[in-house]
Amino acid sequence: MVRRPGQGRLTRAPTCRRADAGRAWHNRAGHQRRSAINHPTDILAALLSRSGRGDRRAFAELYRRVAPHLYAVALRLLRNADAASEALQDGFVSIWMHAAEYQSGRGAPLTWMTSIIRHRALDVLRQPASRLPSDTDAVEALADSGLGPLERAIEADLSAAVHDCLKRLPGPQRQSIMLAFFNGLTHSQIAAHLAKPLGTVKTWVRQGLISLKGCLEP
Amino acid sequence: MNVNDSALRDRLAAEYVLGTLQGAARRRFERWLDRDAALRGQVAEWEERMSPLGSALPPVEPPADAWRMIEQRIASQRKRVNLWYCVEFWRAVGIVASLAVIALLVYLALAPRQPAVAYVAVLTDTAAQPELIISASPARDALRVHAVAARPAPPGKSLQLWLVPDSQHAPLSLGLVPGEGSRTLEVPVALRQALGATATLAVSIEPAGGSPTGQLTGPVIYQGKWLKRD
Repeated sequence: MVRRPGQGRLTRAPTCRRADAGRAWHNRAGHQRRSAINHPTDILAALLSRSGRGDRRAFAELYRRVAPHLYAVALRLLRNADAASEALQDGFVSIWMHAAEYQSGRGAPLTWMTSIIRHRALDVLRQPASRLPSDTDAVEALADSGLGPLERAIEADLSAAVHDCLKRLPGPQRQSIMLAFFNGLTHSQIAAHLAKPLGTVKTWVRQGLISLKGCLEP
Repeated sequence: MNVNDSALRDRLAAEYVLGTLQGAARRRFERWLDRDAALRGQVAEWEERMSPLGSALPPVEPPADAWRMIEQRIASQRKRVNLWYCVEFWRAVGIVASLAVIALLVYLALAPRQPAVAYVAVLTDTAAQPELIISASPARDALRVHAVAARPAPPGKSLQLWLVPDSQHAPLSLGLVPGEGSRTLEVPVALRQALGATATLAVSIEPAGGSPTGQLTGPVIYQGKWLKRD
């Protein structure tokens, strides 16, 4: 009622049947898993839908498949294994509670789940009494990991349009957006990191996002 | 926000997804999201746009105990499944609600030495099982909390009671409640007025000792309407 972890809303009338008669389906999923390199969207959507009906085995399988991706997102933002694990746990409890609300028209299941974990981690990161690194710590922590590996990852994978579009942004805009997205930095933390005025950074972020959208939807 | 300014809506949706929308602006935006399906659509579009960036991160195996903790937590809160459309659910609600009212009337009739009860709420879990009975005198200066079943908080967590005035306002903490037995909570003067209105009471799982921020952070596990008894 109070928390709003996802954007999904019910569109069709589901049933309250518990989904235990899923053996045949499980076998099929197992077969597909061997042949699939990644996590095909329809398998995740099926697992999510079963979880929405209370199927714990499907939920365990969903966790096995996506938790390493989601944990990486939380860890990257929080830079603290305990806090990241806690955000992952909170996020998965939320996914379990709201699985039935996920609707495929709202984007890929992994995106939906990632958003839940991201917002959970951002909530933790923004808590005033957070035991996590303060502004200075977070910015200093960037010195060791930096953006290098990520930029290399982006260089290496040109298939996604967003990477291509990101590369086309002017340097400061790209850097601001990446610091916000991957490191969870606020406008003022980015300004401190880049030693630029706050207003300038806000403009970079805004213009960067507008250009990204334009580039992705010409 | 001018809710009709489409450029502004899109910018806020983008900054929400990016994480740069923060503090009060972020909370206000989340309240808009609850009411505005088109805005939810814009957020979903931005999430989809940005998602390939997230995939650039190499996966990291989470700690081994994370899954065990999740299993424990979902076992302690039976599932919220599609209940709105479920006939069995409404039948159960009907039966349970009737029994709860009878139990409450019997309880009230047999406890004449108790101070007059003017407000009462039966908090149910997601399977409509009554979990807590909460009552208050006409002055609303104290709440009597009685746990129907012994269902303690998960290890290292506390159960926290919230007053939810309405969808426009953030929940207000009323204190920690027991998982078993009874407890009396003193109601701060500032909250007594709000407790008189047609509020909702909710219980969430919070870190031990209660939410560190004073805001509701954990999942809501029980809730019920706060009713005046005339």
